[in-house]
Amino acid sequence: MISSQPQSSQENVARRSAQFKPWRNFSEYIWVAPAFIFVLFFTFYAAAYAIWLSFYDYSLASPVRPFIGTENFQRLFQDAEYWQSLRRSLLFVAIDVPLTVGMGFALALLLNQPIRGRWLYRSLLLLPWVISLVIAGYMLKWIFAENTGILNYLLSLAGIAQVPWLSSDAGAFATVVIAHAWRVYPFGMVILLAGLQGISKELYEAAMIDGASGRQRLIHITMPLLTPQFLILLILRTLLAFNMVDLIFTMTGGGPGNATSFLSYMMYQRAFSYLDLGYAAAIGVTIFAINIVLALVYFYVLRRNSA
Amino acid sequence: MLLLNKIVSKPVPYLMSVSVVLLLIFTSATVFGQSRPVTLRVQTSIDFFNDDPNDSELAYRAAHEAFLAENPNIRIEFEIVPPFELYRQFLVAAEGRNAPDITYQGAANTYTLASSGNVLALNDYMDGHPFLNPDNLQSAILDVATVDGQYYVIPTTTDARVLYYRKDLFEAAGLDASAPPTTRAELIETAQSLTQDTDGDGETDQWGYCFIADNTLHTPHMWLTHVWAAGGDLVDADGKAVYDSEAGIAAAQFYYDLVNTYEVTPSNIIANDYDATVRALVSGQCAMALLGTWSWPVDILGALGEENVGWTPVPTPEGGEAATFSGGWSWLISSRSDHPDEAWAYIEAIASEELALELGRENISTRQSVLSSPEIQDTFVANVGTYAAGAAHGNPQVTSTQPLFDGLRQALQDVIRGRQDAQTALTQAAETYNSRYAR
Repeated sequence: MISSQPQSSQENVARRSAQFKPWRNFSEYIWVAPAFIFVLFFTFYAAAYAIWLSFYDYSLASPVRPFIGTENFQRLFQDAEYWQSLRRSLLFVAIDVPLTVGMGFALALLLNQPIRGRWLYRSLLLLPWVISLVIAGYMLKWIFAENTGILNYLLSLAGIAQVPWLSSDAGAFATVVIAHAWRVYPFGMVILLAGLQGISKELYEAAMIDGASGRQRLIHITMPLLTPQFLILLILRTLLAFNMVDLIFTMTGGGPGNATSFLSYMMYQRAFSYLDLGYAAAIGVTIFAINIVLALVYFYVLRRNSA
Repeated sequence: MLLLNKIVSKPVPYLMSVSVVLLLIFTSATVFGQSRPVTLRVQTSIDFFNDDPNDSELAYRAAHEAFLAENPNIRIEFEIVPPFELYRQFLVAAEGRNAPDITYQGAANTYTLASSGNVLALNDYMDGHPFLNPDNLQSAILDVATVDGQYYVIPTTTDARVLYYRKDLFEAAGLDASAPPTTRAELIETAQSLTQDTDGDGETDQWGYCFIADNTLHTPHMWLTHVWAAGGDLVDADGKAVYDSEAGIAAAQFYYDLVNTYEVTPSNIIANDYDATVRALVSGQCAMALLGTWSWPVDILGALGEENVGWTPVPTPEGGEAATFSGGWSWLISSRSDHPDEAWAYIEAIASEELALELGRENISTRQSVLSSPEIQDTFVANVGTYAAGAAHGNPQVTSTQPLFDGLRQALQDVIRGRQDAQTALTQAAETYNSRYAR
């Protein structure tokens, strides 16, 4: 029977603790077990194995794999390419996340308006998200090709000289940013649009009666109420941008030189091209640590703001 | 749910029942398994045994079916893997003690695979074999197939890098299309004549010469042809990188000069991949290009026609020797195979002399007896195969090919872009490789 009296959280915990009898709840564990085993094996075991690998000189090309302690990490921290790749990754995240979240938010606001054919715009704007990142990469590589790409051709019609999209460091970096933003903005758009549709219209009506302007309604109603969506979006977008490999693999191969070799791509290359799994695992461990730090920073900042 | 609760309430009888059933299944599987035929797992690329009905596919299929008819106790299970994933997937499968009995691999990976201990030395099978014996292999192919005196691969077909040139553009520029360049000096001179602003807008529309300098393996493969031609090499006998040899510096400087001094090559070649370079040749954006022989039949000859395009050996420096890079494909047997004799018998069937002759009409054979066969004389593959037999070099024998090549292509891109001089860039790249990866 459900009590109509409100209970304190301490009382709830005490009541649940008193009811907790593992031998009686055995079947519940069985139902949870498949998911638990899956996560245990594919997440925790894989992460633990990667940490273990990082302490070995472990190459697929060699049958001898000695324990070398922290040598991989020492080598890593002395590797200029590691620091350059890290800087590129952080720069990419710093540009990509605000850009894609901003684009998603702007489009979500537009699509939340009562405009004719809204369903069509929503479908069309969602299209880039349903294209595989690998296919998008190849497609964009052809579009941005310097001599044969359609983009430079269109620019030439307007009298603009060829842009070295993929053959200059800055051009290649910018191309990756543009391509990635085009591919992933719908993700933010969908999440924020769902959040917008959950905000009660009465709040806006009340604010309008009080004389709040559109900008004030956006800043004082919409954005605070979208904090949970922003939180999730920023965390996911940061992690996904930091760990992005596919677009680099298909569009630039990390080039020209190493101009678009981000940390995740460096890890991929060390693992699957150099077959140096120990070193790649050490890079992976540092990426893992950076991801956790970034996620904690977001949690802290957004929690503080929402409080 | 009800059943689950019953099991939970009385687990012992249920566990015993399950154990008995499992025991019966395993016992019967073992008993019946003894009468099963031998199953060979073959890891191959999408190029073979698919439904593409060209001659080579049909020839393979016929040999495969004939083998099965002669060996009813052997079954073949194919695992189709994209060509450039074969190497990684084989090593990962071997790591999990699940390697296929036979694998098809690029020749460039032989040394790494042999070093990993995952492939079988084939001396006992190959020595004295009437067709597959090592003496019948081209010398460059034999060098790559041999590691510490042991043969690890059964090479099938190979390739070479050659200079393709547009005969029609030669004629349009007033050049003799029957006399393509043979030396670097002639290449530069010819390329200068072919580099043109065809529409008069002040921009070059037709470049004299294109090569590959992007972030792929084609970059070091192409560059090496110039180094070998000048008597240099990529690594020394100890496996140390020697990019910065006199020949290496001269070859890198040659690249710089083509782009910046003579301006016969577009600067964006560092972003143009192999396919883009083929397209540039076919579209006329490049009048000459250094490319692989596999592109000839369909992509180049098929697109342009014999009257508009030709091929010639890679131009050499004055006093240099003919040199080109040869790759190709091979069969290997896993060192963990339970059926190496059956695996060898199958490879014998699909790498037979008859089949090699059939394949040799379209692809360069690794076998001298096929190249000299009267059946394929005066064809593109015979001519280019003869050139390769005398000029080809293979992949350097190092465990870590990728870092060796990555450091090199970065250095070359820096030289082409004028960021570093050839000596500095190549020396730094060699030092980085030698300190971390050299064996």
